[in-house]
Amino acid sequence: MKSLLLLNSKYLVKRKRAFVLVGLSLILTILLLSIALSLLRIIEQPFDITFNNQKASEILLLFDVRSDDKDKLVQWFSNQEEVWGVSEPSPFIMVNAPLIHKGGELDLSVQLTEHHSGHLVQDEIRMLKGDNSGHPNHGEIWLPTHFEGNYGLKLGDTLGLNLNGELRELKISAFVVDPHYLSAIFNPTRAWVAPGELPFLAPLSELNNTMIGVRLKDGVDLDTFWKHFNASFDYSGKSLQYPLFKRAFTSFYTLLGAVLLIFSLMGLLISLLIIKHTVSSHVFSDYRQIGVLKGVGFTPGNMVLLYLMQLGILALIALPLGLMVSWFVVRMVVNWMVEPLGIPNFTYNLSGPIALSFGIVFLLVLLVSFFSARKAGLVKPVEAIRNTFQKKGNPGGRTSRTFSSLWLPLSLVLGGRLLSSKKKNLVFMGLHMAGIVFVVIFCVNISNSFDKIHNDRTSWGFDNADVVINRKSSIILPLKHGELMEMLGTYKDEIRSISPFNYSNLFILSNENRAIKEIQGKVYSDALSKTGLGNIEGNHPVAPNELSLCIGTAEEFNKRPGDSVAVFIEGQKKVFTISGIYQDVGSLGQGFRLQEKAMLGLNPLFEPRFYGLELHQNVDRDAFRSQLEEQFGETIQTELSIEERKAMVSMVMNVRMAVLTISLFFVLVLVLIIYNHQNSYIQQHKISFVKLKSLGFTSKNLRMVLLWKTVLNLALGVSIGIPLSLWWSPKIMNMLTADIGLVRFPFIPYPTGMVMAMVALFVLGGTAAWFAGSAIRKINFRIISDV
Amino acid sequence: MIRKTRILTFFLIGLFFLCPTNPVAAQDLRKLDHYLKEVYENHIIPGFSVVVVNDQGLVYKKGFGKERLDRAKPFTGQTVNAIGSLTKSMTAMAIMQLVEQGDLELDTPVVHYLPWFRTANKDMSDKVTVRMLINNTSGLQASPEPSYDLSDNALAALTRNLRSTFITREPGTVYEYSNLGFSIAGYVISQVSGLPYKEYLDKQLFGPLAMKSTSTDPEKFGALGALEGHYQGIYQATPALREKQFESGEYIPAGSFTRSTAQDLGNYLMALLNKGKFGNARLLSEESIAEMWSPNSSFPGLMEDEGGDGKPIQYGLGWMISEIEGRKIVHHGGSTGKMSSMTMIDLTNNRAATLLANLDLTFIDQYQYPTIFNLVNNILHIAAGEPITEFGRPTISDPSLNDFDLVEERMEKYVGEFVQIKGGDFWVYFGLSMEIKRGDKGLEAMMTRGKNTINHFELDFATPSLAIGRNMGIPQRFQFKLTPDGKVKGLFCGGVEYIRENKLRLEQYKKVEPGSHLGFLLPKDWSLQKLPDGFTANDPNDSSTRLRGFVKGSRKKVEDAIAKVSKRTSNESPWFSIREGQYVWKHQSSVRSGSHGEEVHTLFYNEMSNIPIHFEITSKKENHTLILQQVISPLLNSLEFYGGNQ
Repeated sequence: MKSLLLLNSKYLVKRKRAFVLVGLSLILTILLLSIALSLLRIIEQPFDITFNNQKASEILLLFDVRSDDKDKLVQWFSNQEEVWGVSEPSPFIMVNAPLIHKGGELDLSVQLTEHHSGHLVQDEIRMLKGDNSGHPNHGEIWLPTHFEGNYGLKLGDTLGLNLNGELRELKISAFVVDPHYLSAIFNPTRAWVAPGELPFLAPLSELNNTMIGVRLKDGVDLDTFWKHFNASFDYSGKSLQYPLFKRAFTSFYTLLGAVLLIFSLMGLLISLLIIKHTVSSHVFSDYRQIGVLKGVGFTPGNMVLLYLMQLGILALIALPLGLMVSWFVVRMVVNWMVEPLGIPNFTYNLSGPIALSFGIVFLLVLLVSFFSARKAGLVKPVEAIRNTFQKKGNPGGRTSRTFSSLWLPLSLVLGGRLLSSKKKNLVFMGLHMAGIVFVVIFCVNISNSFDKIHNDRTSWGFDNADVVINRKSSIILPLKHGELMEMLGTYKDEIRSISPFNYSNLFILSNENRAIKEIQGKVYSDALSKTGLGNIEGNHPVAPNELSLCIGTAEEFNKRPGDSVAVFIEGQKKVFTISGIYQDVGSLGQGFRLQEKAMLGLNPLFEPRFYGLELHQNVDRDAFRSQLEEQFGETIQTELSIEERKAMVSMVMNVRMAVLTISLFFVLVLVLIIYNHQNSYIQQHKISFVKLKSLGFTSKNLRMVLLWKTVLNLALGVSIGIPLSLWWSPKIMNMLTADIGLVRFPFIPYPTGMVMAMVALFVLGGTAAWFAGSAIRKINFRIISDV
Repeated sequence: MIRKTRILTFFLIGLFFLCPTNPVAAQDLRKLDHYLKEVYENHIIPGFSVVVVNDQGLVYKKGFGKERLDRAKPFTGQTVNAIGSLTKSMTAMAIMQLVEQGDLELDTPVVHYLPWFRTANKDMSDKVTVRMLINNTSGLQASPEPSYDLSDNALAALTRNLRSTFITREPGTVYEYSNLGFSIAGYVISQVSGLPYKEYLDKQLFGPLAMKSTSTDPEKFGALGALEGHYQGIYQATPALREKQFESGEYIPAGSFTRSTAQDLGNYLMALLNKGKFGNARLLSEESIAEMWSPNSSFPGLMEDEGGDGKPIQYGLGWMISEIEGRKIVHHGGSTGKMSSMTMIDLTNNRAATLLANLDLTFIDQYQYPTIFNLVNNILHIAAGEPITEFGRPTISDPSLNDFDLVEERMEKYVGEFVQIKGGDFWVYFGLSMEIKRGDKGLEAMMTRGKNTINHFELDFATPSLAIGRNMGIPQRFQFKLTPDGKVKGLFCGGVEYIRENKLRLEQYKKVEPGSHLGFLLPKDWSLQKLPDGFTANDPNDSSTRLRGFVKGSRKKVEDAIAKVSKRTSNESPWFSIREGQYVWKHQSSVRSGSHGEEVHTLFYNEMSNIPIHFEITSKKENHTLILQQVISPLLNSLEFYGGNQ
């Protein structure tokens, strides 16, 4: 054992470059894996801790005091044994106009709510930054913490609110942790003003709304309790509940964790391939030494153990390093997640994810090393001592002969032969490259798919409209539907198709004919088959008793095409047959589609009010919109097409940033792999290079040879990676976006982008190979004598 | 003999040349008379007047019907009626006068004349020019709430409050009818001329035009005998009551108040036809009038189904411009919800006509009755010796007709009282209560505000959740909010949301009468104590909450506080104006330290002299808003002054 350890230490030092590469890839792999597992484990904790620490209500009721009796509501809830507490009523007003900050507009609605002492007991609003005076003072406003980061607001800034046609200004005196509004996704969000402040901001006629919070005891099922409330109480107002708040907070981190997990698994695969290659190549280059060692009494098991120990020791150094870095990164991410929540002494146990990550990676490393190192145990000592280089490996063969063509440059020929001389090496390196190419191509195509939403809107569930017209009714001379259609019909050169539609709401009914859920959907005047919209299952509704459901709604109520669903629509109960299921990310998977004739059967006066215009390709969208507005004036309002809207633009940018970061990371890995591989290759084949030098090859020639070897290796990787990526990318995205109503991700490959990415890979890989090849200069005849 | 013949010949020749070149034949006037009599008899209009002029003078002026359905006084050419948005042409004329004087330039940004003029997006409001204000392309869509201020400050306050609104369309590009734009133009007139808007019009328009019965000042309406008009009903219009407490000065330049007569408007039209000249006065140059009548923007006009020809309507400066049946017509309507006007100037035949009605004919049911557009167009035809046409009358039947019938058993679920909670406007549809009740032929909906019946419909159900409200006006959609078990929780109608009044809630209140002329609701457990100068009421559960009512003039401190309207401290809110129940109240809140810690105090007062009382409510700050919701709002909504209303 002692001798094995001594040998190991020698080899570790001797092959430090190779082991550094292996070590780095192990560090990066375990870093990603550990972060992903930690995030997925921790995600819900900060939210639940905050929610419980601040005694937040699982149910918020928001109602108009003229239609719902505040005292009766409080009394009812207080009398229920499931209820832990009912908060004091908090008057509020909605501010629906954009907020004004330093002359700019924040496109947000805010529920301006009065703070009161009850918020120290239930639905506590915790101060994170600002003067902790217990509540906002007169003229002040408290905002959720995400306002600070997302909108660049600061303490002391003034926020302008358009209330009742007048500008009211409030000073930001604190950023607070609001247990219900922890996420910036929520719009409208909530802000707090002083007790008794609302009469200073709005007239009495606007002060009719109040909010009550209901906190349940532990273990109470919210759904059951809510159904009990609906059955017992005639409530007209709105309610917001725990699952919605939680989902708003965790969805982003869940997605992040899932993406990191996928990439960490890919990284793990690459690392294992690197390990396999490394061990194999070491065994080959140590062939003679193995023979010697076996000759002096080392057993086959010792030989395997020798290499196993090298990787084992390496893993024992690299993995903890990676875990340590991941610990810091997770802490950083968690702090970033938790800091706006202000959770005091937030502790979390990472031992599980860390142990799991370590266990998985270490075990796999040992396994792969074991199987790769077995060859060392099979080496015959006499043969090994006699022959400096192993005979195994095919110096020629068909692959090698490919590179014998006289018309190819000599360096290319030699590079090819070097690459193909060891098939296994060829395959392994090809797979490394393929893995990286896979990721880079994935990133390029996903980014393009988001960029090109306008090319494939219907696959996202959006109407295929370059311009949407809203026909206004509240004016002196409103246009009728027929009139507008006639006028739009004169734009044959500009408009390719017109799809009139309108929105409608319905309630899904329970078996007892109670309204369970209200959903909004669309009613189309033309056959849906002409709109370009598609279904993921079944068909568009055609008959008056058919409707199609969005995937989220269908899954929630466990419905498939052919099933029936009872609804309450236009004041009537009706049973529809589900003709199909579609996806629509715009409604987060909720909704329905109906054909106009179905609606006319329920409401003979139904008319479309919206018109999706698909324009011809050569038409300038903005110019045409202006032209329509000038012609129609106040009778219409044009709307931006979906991909132009702020929220979508912002999302696309975020996705681009994310994939760019990931692809850069993998490109870096590629460069490292190539550089290190080149170095170790040069070291392992010193004699060959000396021989070539003796034949007249200069260092530059030999560097060119190695460059071509790398380029051909990359080409192999590209030929495997690109098809694999094109095949798997849509499937991966389907899985990731299913939660937001997109079960079939509209994947649009980007050939130009792929080519550009590959060119970049080749350039960077080639550069790395060239620089690594500088080691050739140090190889000279004296080395032969060393050998 | 020969000499006599020669004299006669010369006389006849002279007469020929002296006669108007465009005379209206006597028989045409008879035809016009006959036509209008028929209109009166077959239409639903309680009363109207018509004036027809040409460039030579007055051609025809007559009234039909009664000033008020419940009174005998006839509607004549001297009857003072609202003209509505025809005022916009007058505002535009005033602007052009200032342009001619060199005090204004049409294409100069407003900010040049009002340096502080801005919206929240200043880069957009900086582009708004004076022209855009009066050709409806400023992009200013918002119509801020009125302040119930009839002083000249109202226009200034309106303009300043635009700081919080956004312009969403590029100024100067798209037509969008904007009362706000004209109001700001009115303010520009006052700032540039140095005269309040009302005074400017009196001096520079109405005076020179001898429009003696024309005014934009509501204070003068009584003396002028100005009408209040009628609201639409099912079979008969309902006389409208004046609601002085809801009058507000913000939109005077857009037409909220202007009253005039057929006689006066005849003078106005004659001046326009005579290239700006009336008698010895020249109000505008021919070029300026041509500028006003040049198209600046356009929007879709009446389509064929509606009796039009599909040609777009253009908008100049305060005037609409159309080609109707081969004639170039400059026109503008006016609508106040209770009265209406339509003016058409036939530039091809040099003739003009105005119709004033004491019912809003702009929103008349066009499938049942001729529209005001059709009527005035035909008046011009007849005056030109031409046959009447159906221009402006729909060529199709009412598309809202249906054969659905609501079953009898379901009707009861709709019956009840509803209150307006959102939407509407501040011209007609505000502060409404709606009662749905059984009528002779099914269900009826009645909209009221205090003693005013604003609208009355028969409900023709198209589905269980959609009814068409039918009366003499344009059919209105009533969209009911139903639950699966058939309950009616509320409804939407005409952009207004109503909820069913919570009667159970009202059971928690009691009626109190602290004075012989005063009654309102208070929470049942509150105690009321009468005082020599008013009353006091207390919440037995919270001694820090005090309601005080006191007779006007009894507390100087309060009168001083009311007088301090424009000089408030940081601890005081602005004065808000609200409509609660039948009255407009102003209220202001202030923070103060009291025996119970920091308290909020809100003072409510009413400016009307026949409302004798102010209220103040004081409580701990954390309870104050809830108390306003639970106590003050029901109190004000239920407040009655017996014998002291309007």
